[in-house]
Amino acid sequence: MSQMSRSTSLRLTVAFGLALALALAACAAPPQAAPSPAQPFAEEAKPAEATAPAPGQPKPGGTLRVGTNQDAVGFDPHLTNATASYRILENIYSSLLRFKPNLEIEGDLAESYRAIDPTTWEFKLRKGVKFHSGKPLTSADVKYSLERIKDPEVKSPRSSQLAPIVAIETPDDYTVIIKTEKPFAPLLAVLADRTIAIVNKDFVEANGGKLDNVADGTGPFKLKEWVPNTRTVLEKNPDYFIPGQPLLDQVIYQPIPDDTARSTAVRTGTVDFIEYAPPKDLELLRSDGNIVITGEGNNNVRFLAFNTTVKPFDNPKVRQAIAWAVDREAVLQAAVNGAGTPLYAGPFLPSFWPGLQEPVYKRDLEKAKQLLAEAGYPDGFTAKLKNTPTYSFLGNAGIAVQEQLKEIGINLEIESLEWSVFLKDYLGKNFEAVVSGYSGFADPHTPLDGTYVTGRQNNFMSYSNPKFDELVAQGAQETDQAKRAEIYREAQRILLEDSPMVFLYAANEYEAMQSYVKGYVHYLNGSHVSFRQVWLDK
Amino acid sequence: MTRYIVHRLLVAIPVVFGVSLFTFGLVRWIPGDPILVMLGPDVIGADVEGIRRLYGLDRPWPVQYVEWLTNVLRGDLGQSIRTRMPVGQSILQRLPVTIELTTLSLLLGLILGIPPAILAATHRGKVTDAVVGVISLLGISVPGFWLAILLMLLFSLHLRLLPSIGYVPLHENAAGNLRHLLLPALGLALPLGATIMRFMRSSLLEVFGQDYIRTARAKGLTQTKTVLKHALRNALIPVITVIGIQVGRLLGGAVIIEQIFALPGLGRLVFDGISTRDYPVVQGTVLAFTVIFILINLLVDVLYSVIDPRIRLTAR
Repeated sequence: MSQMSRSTSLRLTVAFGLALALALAACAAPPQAAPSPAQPFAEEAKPAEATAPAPGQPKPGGTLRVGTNQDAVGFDPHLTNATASYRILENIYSSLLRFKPNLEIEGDLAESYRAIDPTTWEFKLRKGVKFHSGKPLTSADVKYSLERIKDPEVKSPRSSQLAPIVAIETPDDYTVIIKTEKPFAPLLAVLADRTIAIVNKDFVEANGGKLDNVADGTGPFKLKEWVPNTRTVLEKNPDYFIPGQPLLDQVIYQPIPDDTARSTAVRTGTVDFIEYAPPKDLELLRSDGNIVITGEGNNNVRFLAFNTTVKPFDNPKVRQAIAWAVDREAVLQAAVNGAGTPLYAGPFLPSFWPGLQEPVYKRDLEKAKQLLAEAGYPDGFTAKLKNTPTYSFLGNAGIAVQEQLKEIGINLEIESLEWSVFLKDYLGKNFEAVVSGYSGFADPHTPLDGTYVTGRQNNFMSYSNPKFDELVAQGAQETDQAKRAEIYREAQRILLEDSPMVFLYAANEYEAMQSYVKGYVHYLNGSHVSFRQVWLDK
Repeated sequence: MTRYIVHRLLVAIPVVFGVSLFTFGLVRWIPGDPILVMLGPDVIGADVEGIRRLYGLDRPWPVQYVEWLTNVLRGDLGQSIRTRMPVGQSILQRLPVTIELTTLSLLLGLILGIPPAILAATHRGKVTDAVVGVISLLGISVPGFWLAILLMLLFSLHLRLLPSIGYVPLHENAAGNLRHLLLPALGLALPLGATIMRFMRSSLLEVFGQDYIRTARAKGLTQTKTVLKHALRNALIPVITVIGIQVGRLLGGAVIIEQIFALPGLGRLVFDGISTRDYPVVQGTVLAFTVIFILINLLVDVLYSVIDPRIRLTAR
């Protein structure tokens, strides 16, 4: 109720402000003067220096209006797999552990954690943490949450990630012991994932096991209202366990699917912050003095993958030839206007911990032709490439690759399919070559194991190399991170040698915000958890 | 009249049934998989078949259809695969937005269409007529969504007069509601207005040739009175037919416009539903669109008899 009147009065204030500003502008400018897009309107209306507050001092209060690419698709943290949902959920729920912006791991609800032996981990919970409903968090909630994800009846898409866990014990209210069958090094990264949220056992049971549009977490914000496709409103949790956070009173998410409409919305100040700032509008946004852009890198991979069971892609030399023939810089340019990092050396960004530093495949057409000749295709061949125009960064990458391969005599016929059709063909291994991508990993084990190990569900290339499989299994059991990294580097070298896919680029993901939005930090996994420290300098 | 309306509604039942069957088949026949779309390519090791069973999508189509239809007759449109929200509730939430948008577009279309048509018809063959003709041709040829984006750039970005996206419910803030709807409604109204303009002009010209107009003029009535009192009402009849048909186009156009302006209406519901293969959402929304369209056509026919008493509505 008070929310309604507040937002009404806010809107009236904004409307009145706009009207006043318009009147001022009308007086100030001669009628024939064209409005200048470079000169933001709000700038003219307010006196610049007179009332400026001390800069750099975080101050509490205010509402952050966020323009999102898509609406949330339900709020059960264990069931949803949509980025749009968990970018909101991660501000409502906490996990045992969490990532820092560079994907290092730190405690979240766990105050400390240690390995008792290679298969047993002990987590000590923070004391005094309360759910939004007021109930204190105990180890029983942690146990319940992890078991809920593992429960086959619940059908959580994340259940397989917790499969290595064989027992969860709670010796007292603030201690959780997690046991795995074999040593499982990625465990900490799995537990730090925002989808492994800790829920309130009593609350879930009171709601008949359903969390589709209700939430009771321990995060910095509470779920206040979800009006599908219109807005999601979060309000401050005054009892959040990190003192002084959050600073904002409210976060309002508003889905704006159209790229132009979304960047226009932040330029006009209709919203304060947008995710997925479209690469095509970056120049425009940068030239606007009121807009700040963040986003250097993102852990994702865009690739050209082959079905290694069909001719001619069953021949590693053919695949290597293509890896030598592709100009990754040009693909990056065509796909996302150059906003990303070309992947010359495997599936990881060079800045990500097991990434190979030395470029392996730089464009070399002579080498490519020679390999093709050795494979028995001196004049090249014709094959089918499936791609999807639904995401221009995949569609355009495919077209660029097609052009480049013509130079070594390979003629790719592109079959362009709408996303839902494409996805079925691609995951169903119904293709010869395909341009696609994956993202959202924080530990190298996740993509290496899930995508390239023999027989895995997401190994749509039907790739198989026992040596590689062995290394990945070994990496999962190695607890020394430096040794682990060396194992994964070796695995990447095999992957590059076999080239079941040609790694193309990792796309940057940008956020654009009004310059008064302070404290936002870009995360390598695209997380928006830094909303808990955002404040408004206005 | 009541008998006529009841008759028409009864005739509509098989139509609605047919559309529902057709939609059900069509949405399943087009390739794509709602569960895969929901899970996306990033998910590793999810129990896809188990989730498919959870939604009853593993059963044969006829079984699924009969179950869906039985539930619909009980007033339950099912649950969205993607959001797990009841479809009926989503439709009721979004219906007002689309009704407001199309009503406003219709009003704007009439305002933009009729006065210039009168001007053109009364100045037939003169410059005014030619100018109106060119403008209406442009309005028909240029796609509404493109015009809408241009309007957004002009009014939101450069002039900063209107919000570029979003929606405020009418009961919360009437002025804000109008401000949010104006640009999208214009996008729909411009092509509609252009169409109305063309039909109205030729309809007026035809009426001007009738005897009763000559009589009116002979009586010494002014041009204005002749047009407004005698010609306009009769010229409106064929135009109303056109408007009835155009409402279908408005509803279709709303699908794109709502997407661009981020309006939470029915059009966006069906758009998202189709692109994610959310079967229950598409089936429910198309059903709602069908019912609306049938009701509007009925309304148009009733309007005929109000405007022209010569037309009798009879149930055959």
